[in-house]
Parts: sequence; structure tokens; C-alpha cells
Amino acid sequence: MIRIATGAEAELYKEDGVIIKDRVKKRYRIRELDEALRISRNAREFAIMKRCHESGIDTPRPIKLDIKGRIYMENIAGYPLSSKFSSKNMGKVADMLWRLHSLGIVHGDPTTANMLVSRGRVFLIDFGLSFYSKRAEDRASDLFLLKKALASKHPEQAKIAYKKFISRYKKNSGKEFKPILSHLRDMETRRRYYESY
Amino acid sequence: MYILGIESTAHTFGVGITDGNRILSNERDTFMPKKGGIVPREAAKHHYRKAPEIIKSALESAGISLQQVDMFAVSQGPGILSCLKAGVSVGVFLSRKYKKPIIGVNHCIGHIEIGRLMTGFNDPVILYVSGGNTQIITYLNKRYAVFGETQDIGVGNLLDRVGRMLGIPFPAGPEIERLSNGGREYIRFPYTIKGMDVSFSGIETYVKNIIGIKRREDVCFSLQETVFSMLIEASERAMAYCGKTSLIITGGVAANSRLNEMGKRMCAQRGAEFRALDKEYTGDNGAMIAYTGYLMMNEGKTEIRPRPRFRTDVVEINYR
Ligand SMILES: Nc1ncnc2c1ncn2[C@@H]1O[C@H](COP(=O)(O)OP(=O)(O)OP(=O)(O)O)[C@@H](O)[C@H]1O
Ligand SMILES: [Mg+2]
Repeated sequence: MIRIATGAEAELYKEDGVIIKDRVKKRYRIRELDEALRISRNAREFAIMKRCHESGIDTPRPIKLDIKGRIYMENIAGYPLSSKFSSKNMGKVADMLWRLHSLGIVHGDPTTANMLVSRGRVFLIDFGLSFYSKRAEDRASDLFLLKKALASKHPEQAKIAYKKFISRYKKNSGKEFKPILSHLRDMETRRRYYESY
Repeated sequence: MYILGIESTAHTFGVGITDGNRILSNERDTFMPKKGGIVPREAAKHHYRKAPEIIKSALESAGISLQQVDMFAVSQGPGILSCLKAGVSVGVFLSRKYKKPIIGVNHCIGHIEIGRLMTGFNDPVILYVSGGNTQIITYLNKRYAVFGETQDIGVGNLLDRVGRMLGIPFPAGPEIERLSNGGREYIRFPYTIKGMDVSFSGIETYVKNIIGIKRREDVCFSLQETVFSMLIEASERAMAYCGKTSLIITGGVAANSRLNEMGKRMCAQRGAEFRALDKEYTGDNGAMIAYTGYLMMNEGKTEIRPRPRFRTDVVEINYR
């Protein structure tokens, strides 16, 4: 078993070509809270990844959830979009995110580190903060987070990348776009200390 | 050279002096409202009234006179307009009277720079937590970019609002910390984290419904554990996302020892560096404005005016 990555919450290992995601105990949190969070996120991540994979969304194939709560999944040979960012991929990201949303799922953490580029495809990972919802407000929250993740991590390309993303997402979502957009605008103006003059 | 910095974004009026290498003095006075939260006009009045004596004592502890000051720096925002006006007009007055340049400083960047000076961390993630501000910031491409923030109220405001429900006077942070030490039962509050953002409004509503039912100590304990875990988790996400290996916690809420302990434990576990800041430099203070003014000395001149909604990420940073 070799460690391939240490994320924010999890350590990732590779064994016999399979990826194992282990949400480690966080020593800064009290036990009750830490256990509750890890158990619910592991279960949620596994279930949602399974649902996505079965529906044909590009995501690693989940294999099993063991009794320790570790998730076993297919290895995606590629790189995180954050490490070699190109706005060329944003059309694919938009297709994927709308497919997810139309399944009634919100990702909850759509950063470019949670998108793996492999063989010309973009795979979505890391469903620990995902949940079931079809509300426009929750969908808008995904768009808001993605927009901010682009602006803060890839500032030079953020504008073009987001434009590409949103025009495709708009096309995909059709009639449902309008309420999502209005919530998105809301979030942006609510954002504290927005320089208004 | 000597730089005198003035801070007045909220209820603290502070004056600090630096020579660019060290902080020579850091004096302040904080307006304490008799009842409830901060009253803008009262706070501003306090600042005008206190300005002369605080400037005087800052000069005395630094061992210099006003004539020796080479540059003035004022905090332009973000903050409360009437409070900002007090600091800015005092600064502009001194700059004209003594014919010395004046520079405007972003308050949040002041917190960041004094944190970097005191910890020696070159490229940290900064968790900035105060009454109105809750941001997770790091340096990227000539900016301090905000990676995470509150989607509703600032963490200090949340503590004060819960404090009011429990009958604790403003500011409630210290008393909540004291009470939390007597906590026995952890009550599961809503835990809302969205990417690197946090949201506190659910907690406020939740607490409203359990006031009088649960022990005050348990409410305070659970509040701290929940809120601080969210903030540390969001900070850790930012560290992982940006590949940064040190953390600074600053702002008024950084005076809380449980929050610092959590920061320290999180960093220890991920092999990152953490150093708690001295309380003298976590709360609003003039030294951070003076020192940031020093760093920004050679940046292009901008108009000196209060900017209540001055965002951290609009300032171009050329001195790093
Ligand atoms: N199936 C996979 N195949 C190949 N690499 C993977 C796979 N899953 C994850 N990785 C790698 O591990 C990194 C971290 O994974 P992941 O985002 O799931 O964990 P995390 O960020 O710790 O999770 P969380 O955000 O819930 O804390 C990814 O950025 C990626 O580089
Ligand atoms: Mg991740």
C-alpha cells in the first residue's frame, strides 16, 4: 500500500491498482463531532459516487466501503485539473455538473482539485460534502463555489474559464437556468465587503 | 525612519509606531458600549476624544516626537464609516500639519502583515476572524486572495448574538470561553461547510430554540467546538488546495485559546507550522497599520478616504 496523496480530510493510498480513501481522525475536533462527521461523509461519498457512476457520470467506479469506513475505488490515471489548468476543459466540467444537478445531486466542493483529467475526459471526485437536492439555491451554490475557486486559484484564466463554463451550463440547463442565476446573483451581492463604489 | 499608524475601523482606536524592523509602540483604547453592541456614532465620538492622548502615549513609549515621524499611515477600511472617518481625518490633519506623506492601508492586510512579522512565516494561510470578518486568505499572484469566507455573519458577531441570548454582555467572546470550560455535554449544532466557505445562520437559529433548555456551559462549549471546528476545517481545506504549509490565526476572535489549540493540533497532524500570535497583535491595533504602511511605502499613491467595504483582494501587492 503506497500513499499517493494527502488531501484536506483524507489520506489516499494505492494497492493493486485500487485507490483507498481513508478519512483520518482529526485530532483538533472532539471525538463525538469527529466521528459523526467522518461516518456520515464516508457513507454519503460512497453512495453518491455509486449513483453517479451508475448514471454514466465520469467518476471513479466505487468498489466497496469497508467496516473502517474506507472507500475503495477505481484508480484514475491522470492529474488534478488544478495542477495543469486549462480553460479548454470547462465545457466538459459544465456538462458534468449539469448532469449531476439534473440527477438531483449537489457536489458541495467543486474546486479544480476535485476534477481529474484523464484520457481527454474530466472525472469528478470527492463527494464528502455532496447531498441530494434539486433546489435552485443549492445548485447556485455549486456554481458560486466553482467561480470563486477559479478566481482565487487561477486568476489569469478565471474570466475566460468561467465564461466558457457558464454559457455551456446555461445551454444544458435550459429553462431551469433562470432561477439558478438569480440565486447566484444574490450570493454574489450578499458577499461581504463587496466594493460597491 | 519612523511611521505612525492609526487604526479606527470599529470600536478600537489604536496608534502604533514602527521603524520598519521593529514595533516601537502600540497603544489603544477600546470603546465599551454601556448596553448592546457597537453604536457607530458613539464609537466615533470616543475615537476623536481619545486620539490626542493615545497619539501622545504612543510617541512617548517609542521615545520620539511628532516632528520625527516621517510618514503617517491610516486604516481605510473595511469598517464602520463614522469610525473610519475619525482615524482618516486625524491622519490627514497630522500629515498636513507636519508636511509628511500619508498612506492608506487595508485593515485586513494590516492583520496579515503583522502576523507574518510576528510569526516569521513567509507564505501562510491566514484565518482572519473578528466581529464582522471571517476570511481564509493566502497570497497568490500579487494579491491576498480570499479562498474561504462566511456566507452570512462574521464569527465574532455570532458569538455576540449568542451571548446576548444567554444574557452575556458585549463583547461576549471571553465569557463564552470561560463558560465553555464547564461544558459536559456536546450538543450537535448544525455544521455547515461549503467548499472553503462556512455558514453560521443555522447555528444562530438552532441556539434560539435550546436557550433555557440546555445548560449555558454546554451551549457555550458546543458553540465553540462546532464553530471553531468549521473554521479549522475550512483553513485546512485552503492549505491543501493551495499547498501551503503554515497557518496564522488573527483578528479579535484569535484571542480564544481553544481556537489556537485547534489550529496547532491541525497543523501538527498535517506536518505544517503554527505559532499563536500574542493578543497584543491579534485584535485591532495601530502597529499593524504602521508596519503595513511601511511595506507599502513605494506603492502608487491613492486617494486617502474611508472605504467601508474595502475588500482584501483588490489591493495589488508589489512588495513581496
Ligand atoms: N480515484 C482516484 N484516482 C486517482 N487519484 C485520485 C483518486 N481519488 C483521489 N485521487 C487523488 O487524491 C487527491 C485527494 O482526493 P480527495 O479529493 O478525494 O480527498 P480530500 O481532498 O482529502 O477529500 P476531502 O475534500 O473530502 O477532504 C485528489 O486530488 C487526487 O489527486
Ligand atoms: Mg479534494
